[in-house]
Amino acid sequence: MSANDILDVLNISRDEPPKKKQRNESTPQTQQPQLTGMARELYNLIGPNTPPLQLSSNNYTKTSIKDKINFKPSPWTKMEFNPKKRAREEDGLKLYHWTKGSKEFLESAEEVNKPYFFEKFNVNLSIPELVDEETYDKFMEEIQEHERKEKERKLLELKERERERQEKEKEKEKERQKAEAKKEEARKKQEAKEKEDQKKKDDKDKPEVVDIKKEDDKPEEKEKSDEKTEEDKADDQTEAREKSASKEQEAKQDEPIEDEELEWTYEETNYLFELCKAFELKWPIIYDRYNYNNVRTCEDLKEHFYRLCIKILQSKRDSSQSSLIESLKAYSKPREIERKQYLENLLKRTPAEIAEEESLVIEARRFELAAKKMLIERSNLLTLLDSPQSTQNSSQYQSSQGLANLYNNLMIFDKHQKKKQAQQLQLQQQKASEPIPPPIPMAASSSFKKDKVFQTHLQQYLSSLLKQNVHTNPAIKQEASAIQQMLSKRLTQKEEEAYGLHYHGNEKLTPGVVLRSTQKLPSLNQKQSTLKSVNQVLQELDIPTGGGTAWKPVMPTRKTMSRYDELIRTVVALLEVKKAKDKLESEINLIKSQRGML
Amino acid sequence: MSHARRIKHISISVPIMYGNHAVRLTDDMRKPTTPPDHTHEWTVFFKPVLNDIDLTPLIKKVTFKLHETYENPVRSIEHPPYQVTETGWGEFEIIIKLHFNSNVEFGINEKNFQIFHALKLHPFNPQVPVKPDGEVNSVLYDELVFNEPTDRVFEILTRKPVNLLPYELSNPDKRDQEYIRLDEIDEVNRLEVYINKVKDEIENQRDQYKDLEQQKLALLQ
Amino acid sequence: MSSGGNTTTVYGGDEISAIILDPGSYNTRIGYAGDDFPKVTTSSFYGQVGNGKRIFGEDINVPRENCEIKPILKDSIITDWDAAIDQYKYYFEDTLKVDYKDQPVLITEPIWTELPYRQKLIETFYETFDFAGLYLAKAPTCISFQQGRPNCLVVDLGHDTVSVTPVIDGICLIKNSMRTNYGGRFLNDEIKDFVKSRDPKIAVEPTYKIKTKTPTVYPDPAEYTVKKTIPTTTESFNKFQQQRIWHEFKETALEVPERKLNSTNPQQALSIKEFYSQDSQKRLFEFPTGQSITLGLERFQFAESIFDPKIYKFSDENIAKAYPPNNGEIKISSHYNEYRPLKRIRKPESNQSTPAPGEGDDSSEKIRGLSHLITHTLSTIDIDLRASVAHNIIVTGGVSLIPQLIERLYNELSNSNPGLKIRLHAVGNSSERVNQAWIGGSVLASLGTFHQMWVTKHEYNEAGADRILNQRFR
Repeated sequence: MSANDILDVLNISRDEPPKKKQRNESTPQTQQPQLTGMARELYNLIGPNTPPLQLSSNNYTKTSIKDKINFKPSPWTKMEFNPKKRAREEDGLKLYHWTKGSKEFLESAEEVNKPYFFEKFNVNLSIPELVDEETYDKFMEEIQEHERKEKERKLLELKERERERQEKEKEKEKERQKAEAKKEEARKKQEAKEKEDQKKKDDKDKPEVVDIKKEDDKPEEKEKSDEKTEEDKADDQTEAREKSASKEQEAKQDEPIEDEELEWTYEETNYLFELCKAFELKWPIIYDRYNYNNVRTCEDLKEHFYRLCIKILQSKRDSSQSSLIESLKAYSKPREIERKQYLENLLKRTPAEIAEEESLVIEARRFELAAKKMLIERSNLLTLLDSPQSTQNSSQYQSSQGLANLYNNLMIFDKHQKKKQAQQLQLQQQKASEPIPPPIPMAASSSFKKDKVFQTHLQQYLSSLLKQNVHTNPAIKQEASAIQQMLSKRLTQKEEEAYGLHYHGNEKLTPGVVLRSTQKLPSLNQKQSTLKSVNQVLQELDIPTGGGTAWKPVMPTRKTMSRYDELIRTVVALLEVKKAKDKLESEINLIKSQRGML
Repeated sequence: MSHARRIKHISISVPIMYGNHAVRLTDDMRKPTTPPDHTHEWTVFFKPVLNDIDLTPLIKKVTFKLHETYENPVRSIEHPPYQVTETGWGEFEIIIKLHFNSNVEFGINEKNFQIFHALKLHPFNPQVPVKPDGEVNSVLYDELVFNEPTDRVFEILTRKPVNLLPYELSNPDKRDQEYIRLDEIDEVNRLEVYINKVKDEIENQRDQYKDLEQQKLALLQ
Repeated sequence: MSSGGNTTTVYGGDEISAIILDPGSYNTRIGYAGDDFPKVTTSSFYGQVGNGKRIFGEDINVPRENCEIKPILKDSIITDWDAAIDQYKYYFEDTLKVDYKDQPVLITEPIWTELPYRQKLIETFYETFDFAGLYLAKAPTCISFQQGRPNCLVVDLGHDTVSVTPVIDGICLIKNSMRTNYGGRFLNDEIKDFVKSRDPKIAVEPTYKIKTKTPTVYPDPAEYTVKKTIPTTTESFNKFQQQRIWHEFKETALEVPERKLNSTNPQQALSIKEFYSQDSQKRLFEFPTGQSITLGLERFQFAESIFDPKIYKFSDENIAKAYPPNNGEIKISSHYNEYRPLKRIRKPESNQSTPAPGEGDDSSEKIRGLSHLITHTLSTIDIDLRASVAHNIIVTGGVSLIPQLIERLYNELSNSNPGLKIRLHAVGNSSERVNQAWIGGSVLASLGTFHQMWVTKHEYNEAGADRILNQRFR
């Protein structure tokens, strides 16, 4: 860190005089070329050019006496400050700290009235204020009404579902009974009939009983006051339904557990709001410091606070808060509890489960990739089969004559198409009963060759060659080269093979003639040792090797040669795997022997 | 230095056959010039598999170099059929040399490669039933592969499809002297089988390897 | 002003030379805010001589006639008020020369303090000492400030108590904190019991008595001579000096084993015990008499008792009674005035097994070792905060300086909490680790933004102790 950096940090400006002195000191030195003794030797060593760095005396290492005498410290005063906004005279605490500046300067009016530097960090969260008791009660009523309606709705839904279930059960029972009846008819008809009758009467009774009970409950609900907790409601309901089906009982018993909630008094709500303000809505701390007679969970506190805030903000009718209100409404207590429970379970997973999940995810990804690949390949094939490829050079069509030719060709082609379609229609009409076969892909149709310009790779390559060779000047008459003749035949892959042609893509080909049997297989580029082992393996498998290293199939065609090549490649791979396996085995033996000795 | 343009990335292959055909000398076959110790009459030949392919523009001549005990051991044939018929008693190696037309247009600079063929007089193949007249055939299949042919070569060779092999034997007797397409397919299949065999073995080995790895890990822990 | 202080731009500091007081069960620390070490570190014991005078500091180790050594604090709470006031006066006025009117004081307190104690505390400081400004800070809050981590779990291994407190946004969560008394004093007692039970003939003479000594190794008898010119000292003084021997033993010889000594697998337990009984693991401890004893497995067992207090069985009944099974739960009596009786979440008899919310197995435990304590605390924290708290666990206190304790703790915690990423932070410097709470207080009191929190005497007079405690010192 240089001197200037430190000064910048401290916001002190450098005093002027030492600089000027330096400059004065440096100039007389350069005017003295004649040097004696050590200096001369030194400069001889350095060379004619003086180094660009000039060593100047750093203020912090060498301060001359003059500097010290002239040094004036910057004044610091111990000033009183007031960290809070309120007036100073009120309390006896006077805090002092050292500040830079002379006493007179700091005590000037403007400085004194400057607010405390750290005042600005004193931020407070703005929370809606709790309204007075009356409005609070009103809000609470509204909230409870709303919740009650929700619950009733849910109850009704549940009841409907229950009824449906029961009806289904009844139907099933009836069917069962009928089946039984049929069996028993064979033996005892009368008894069976009596049983049936009895059962039918029972079924009729049940829905009646249920209906009556439900009708009873509704007026009961209306009678109850707001003050009564919903625990009591649930209790009454359960008492009234002792005889009902077990499912109903269970369903209803679930409700009281959910509905149980102690009422929020105004004082308690006030306490809650105070805490929220003091702890700036940090819920874990609020929950920790919440000391009231009722047991409230963190979610209880949040829910109550949020729903009251909704009401308060709504009553203020401040449109700018609408988004806030929306987000407050989004809080759902059961969901929060569920979410937290879920996170807990997540944390408690054993490592085995975690590993299992990860492997499942990986597998799922693999499947996805495979599916994608399939799709891509399929689409590739389809495009390959369907797409028309233009290969013939377009220059022949560029003249007016050429254009006319093109036009004629297209018309002829079009007529062909229409003829075919007409034929097909006729055929279809004739064979109306027969199902229409799916359209054959173009490549397979016999008239394909005449119509389409489909080419193998070879032909593509050849045609591209042709394009290169063609002169742009149509005036020059071009001989029909062999290539063009070749292309004009428009061969399929198989026919190409018949000609013995093969397109080698990017392979390096040495020009000239070779005898295929003498061609060295690329897979034979191995070490001698490996070749020997390969030979052994081949002999074991009874594959004709042609003796020695002259591996070739009996009938060396391109196909067989490539197959042979593959064979040798796989044998080499086998050898490698065997080698590795043997190595491992020996390692294991080594370890075993070591351990055995232990 | 060929001025002719080569078509790159393309190769044309022409199937050919070469070998020899030998019969025991019967008395009526003997000529006055035939030495008494000659036991067989044999013909060594070189020809394309399909009889109607004409390679004359490309091949200048074919030389058959016989054993030095023969007079004029180097027999040079300049037009098809490229074959030499002789009598003799011993089996030796014949060197068949192809001399290509060094026409610049062909661009074939090949130094006329050689095929070594062992003359067979006596039955050697256990699979082939011994014939009454001692007829022995040793015929080998091969392909001439023209890499990056010039235009001219291309033209010559594409006048007709050259790579067609017959699918049937012209004569069931001629099993040991003819090659048909089915042979190729058979060979390919056989090789496939072998390849699969080897691949299975690889799998096997790989499984064993994995087991061993497990073992090793278990031991190390 | 913004460019005034040289410390301001660096960390928002604004020093006003406040006083920081950090009383602990073993040592009390007093110093200036803004310093990185307390000026005064003195023992929390005092000597009372016959004429009522009290002696503080190192002087209590000088043998005097009729001098009783007594403790001032227990469980980091002042029990002997007169002595405390006397001690603080001595240090404030004679040593530091505090100007009460100008220098406010920040006092650290543990989290298990109760309302009457806090009332008495601030009354004392306002009235007896006449401080102009005061603040009560909870010790874990100070530690979190010292480390600069707003969300953390403070594990304080002190002399009397081992406490685990979560701190969220700098504020301690009292309901989720736990503490046990298996701390430094517990270890001292174990050592004392062990030495006595091993061989009562081992002479445990404090240093001040020894005139000459020759080194011997137990079971050879000790060879030493006693000073004749020493005054007769009281029982408590002797006991106190003996405690110093155990203290030294604890500091030098103990080491925490890497794995549980009492593992459930008997095979493993045997092999582990064998491993730690090897000669390479033995150490010698030399008594002031010159006699040294070799310690093998025992020194690991002592340290292990931090994690598993059951492992050492006291042979002396009296000592065993002093440490009833403690599962760490703190009973909460209200900090605030209530007009309705509390519905307690936890029962006041927390020494019996009380089913704690959440945990399955731990609830039936009567004794919790250190790692169980921490795990249980973690499981009671809100799930959303758990990950960040587990990532910031601060280990502090003198007992945490035992070698290998941090590593062992880390291993145990990682094993019992596989889902959480546990990270332990422990200050490397040993003297810093002991003074961490004080340093935190010093940091707190020198922050510019803190100065609005001081409670002045004027406010105290107006509002009264209760309201101040409820509203300001939350």
